[in-house]
Amino acid sequence: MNQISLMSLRLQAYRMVMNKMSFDISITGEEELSKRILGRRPSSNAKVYDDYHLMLMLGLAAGRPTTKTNPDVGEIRNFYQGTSPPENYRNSWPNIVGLVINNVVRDELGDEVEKSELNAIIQTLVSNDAEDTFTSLFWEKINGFALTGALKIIEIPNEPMTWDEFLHFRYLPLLEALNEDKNGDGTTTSEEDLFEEWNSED
Amino acid sequence: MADNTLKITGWKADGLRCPETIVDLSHSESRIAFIQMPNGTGKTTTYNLIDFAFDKRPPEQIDELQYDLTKDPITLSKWISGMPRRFNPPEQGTFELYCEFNSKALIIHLEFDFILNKVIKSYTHGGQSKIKFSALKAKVKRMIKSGITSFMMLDGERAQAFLNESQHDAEDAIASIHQMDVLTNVLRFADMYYSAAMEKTTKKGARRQEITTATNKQRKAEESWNKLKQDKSEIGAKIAAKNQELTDSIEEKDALGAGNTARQSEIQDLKDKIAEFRVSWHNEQNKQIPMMCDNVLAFSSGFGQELLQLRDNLEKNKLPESAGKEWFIELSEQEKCVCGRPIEATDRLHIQNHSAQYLSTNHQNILNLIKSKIREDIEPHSGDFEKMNKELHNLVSESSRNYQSMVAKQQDYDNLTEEIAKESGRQDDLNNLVLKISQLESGIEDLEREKADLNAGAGNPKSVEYARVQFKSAKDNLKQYTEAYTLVTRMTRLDDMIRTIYERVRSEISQKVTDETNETCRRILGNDDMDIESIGKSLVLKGSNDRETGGSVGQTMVLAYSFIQVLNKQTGIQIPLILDSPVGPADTENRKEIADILWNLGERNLIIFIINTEKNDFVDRIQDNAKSESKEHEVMYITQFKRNKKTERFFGKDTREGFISYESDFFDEFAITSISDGDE
Repeated sequence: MNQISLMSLRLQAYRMVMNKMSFDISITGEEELSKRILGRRPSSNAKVYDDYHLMLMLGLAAGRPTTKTNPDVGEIRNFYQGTSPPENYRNSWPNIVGLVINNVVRDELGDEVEKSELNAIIQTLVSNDAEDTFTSLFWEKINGFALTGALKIIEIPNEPMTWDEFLHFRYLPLLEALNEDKNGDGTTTSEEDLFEEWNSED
Repeated sequence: MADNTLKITGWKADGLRCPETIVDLSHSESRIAFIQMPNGTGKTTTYNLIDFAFDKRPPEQIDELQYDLTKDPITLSKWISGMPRRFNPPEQGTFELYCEFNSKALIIHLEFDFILNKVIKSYTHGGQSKIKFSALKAKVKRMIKSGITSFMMLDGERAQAFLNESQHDAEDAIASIHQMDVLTNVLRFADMYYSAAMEKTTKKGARRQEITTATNKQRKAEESWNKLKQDKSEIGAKIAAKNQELTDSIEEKDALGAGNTARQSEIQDLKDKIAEFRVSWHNEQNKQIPMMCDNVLAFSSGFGQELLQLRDNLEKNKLPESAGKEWFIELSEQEKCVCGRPIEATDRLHIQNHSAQYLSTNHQNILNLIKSKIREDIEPHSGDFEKMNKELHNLVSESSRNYQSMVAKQQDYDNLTEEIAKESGRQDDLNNLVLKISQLESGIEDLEREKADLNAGAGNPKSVEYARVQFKSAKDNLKQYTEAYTLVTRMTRLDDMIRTIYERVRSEISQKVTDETNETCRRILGNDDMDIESIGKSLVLKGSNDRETGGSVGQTMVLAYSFIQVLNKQTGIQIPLILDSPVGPADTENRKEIADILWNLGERNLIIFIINTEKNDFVDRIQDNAKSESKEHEVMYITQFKRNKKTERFFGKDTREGFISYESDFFDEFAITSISDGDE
């Protein structure tokens, strides 16, 4: 395939991926975040998306989506229907889709992945049959990760701080804990340890 | 006045119940043709065939026919089934009616199929043979469509029917021949247009109230949109003003300490430090923010590994360049497989099911995009995941440290300012300024949030875009209501208007027809015995409630004739008059009266079917009138009948089934009243 057709193919795929989005956010998670982080966000013109992204990344790092029906995450509201993520985040989007796919594949198939099974999973997640580029299962999964992230936020002690304070006192310890968990050297950091770490600081 | 003249010049029958002859009435000077036919030889059949030939309805639209007013109507197929010749019945039969319309030949063909019980009507006119009605010239079509021809068949019963409202609808006849159906058609087409237009709108049968509500909604949506636009245009200035106020207040706060020269260097030092930490904090933030937003790898060192794992799996999957799914679906739609074997229905289903296991072009585009992202952005850094994660950590830590230092120095500065204010006795001023600054900061924060909301997409109810979409939808909604309402109003007005016009025109025409019919009738009868009062369902005779009878057969026929003459005049179409046994039931005096009337009509094309017994005092009387005015050549005497044991003797060596004679002597001498046994 020559350069131009590859580019046009990528452009087409990019449009497909970008044009239709339907994120859900937990109202509780959103409110809790607003209570804890005051003031401006990194991307000031997309506050809700900043918060969504933060929750999504926390959820993806935690490794498991929460079902929409979880009572702890509160009512779900739909936003960003039919629009693209803010410019700052566009580059990371295909990787996020990849992470969601990989997570579902790993969850369903473990390490032994058969071609036909992989096909079946990808087809249920990424379909060209519906009007939207992705199937409802995909949105269910990705929003599920964001809800997991929302649960993580709710667990943080309820103390208002600025974004920078939040990053310093909450974000970094949480990230470290998740990373240690991910690197899996046998000494996984449990949620309890994390709480202790947070609580000891207060 | 009669611009268009229709004449009947003869007919030809074959395979039918009437005599299989050719009747030629084209003698140029004849104006009255007597056709003598014994009962049972198809007189009424011929009469009805002529009527059918001129029926304005196409045969396929005819459900029922009523040629005998004393009986119930019969279906077309029953009428056809009674039509074939009794002796040696044929499978087909034909009837050709020869006419002249404005001196040009017009032939109406009726082709009967007795097996399928069908009749096909066609026309020969203007050099075109056996054409459909639709291919006829407009003038001929108009003449037939007007229905005026239904009045050319006149007998005692039909004449009487003009006075009987259960058997006649004179009003409808007038409306029909004056083409008033144009108006009802306008109404019908308008109704069709209205229904079609209504189909398109969801706001069926909109009322004024709904439009008012929709207008209010649109106005409110517009106001709200305008307000948000206004807010958006002003918010920048509001933020700038608040910022200015904040700067001023900070300066004012700084000025509280500025008076104390002894501590000036201490103040400046703290201010420099704050500025220094602020710059560092911003610098780190500027690097950290893109990393947080753009680079998922930095967020967690595990993400890179996960994506590489996905890449390996996708490689394992070996995504083909061409799309598997589409290939199978295309194959399932082919007649033959690539190997040449025909594809059966079960194979087709199997292939379609199989296609579900393959990816389509769209699936692959998405996966290829992810793959290339991993290849370009992630693979080159596969050894650096920890490092990238640390880098983000360091940036966040460094940024936070600078932020904390800046906050600490700010605190020192605030303490110093407070101390100086205390020394100079201006603590209250300071406290007020600190409060003001804090309020301004939170106010600015609120405004920034409001600005973000105003600039957000249609999904945010506080955004300008949301209000714009709401306004557009309210506008569309109102438009639909207005269109629906306008349609309903227009339709109602049109309906009222056409109905009013229709009624007015109908009543004016009726009055005119009444007056002219009376005038004609009086001229023929010489009295006003048969004056009509009005035209409703039937012709209503003056004082009809007090009268015992409607008048004699002759008088009634004159009235009917007068009515027809007026219609002729008004439509501009002169039709022939065909009478069936006009004096059958009449007594001698009446016969002479009717004969005189018919002779004096001056009618150009009068065809009179009679039987032998009607000759006395009727045909004789017309003969006498013709003789006395030396107009014998204007009358034709035709006798015709079918082969039968009673009529066999007239055929001689002739093998045909029908007999016709144009001889007046033969006409006079012919004495068979009916071909049924017992009658002679």
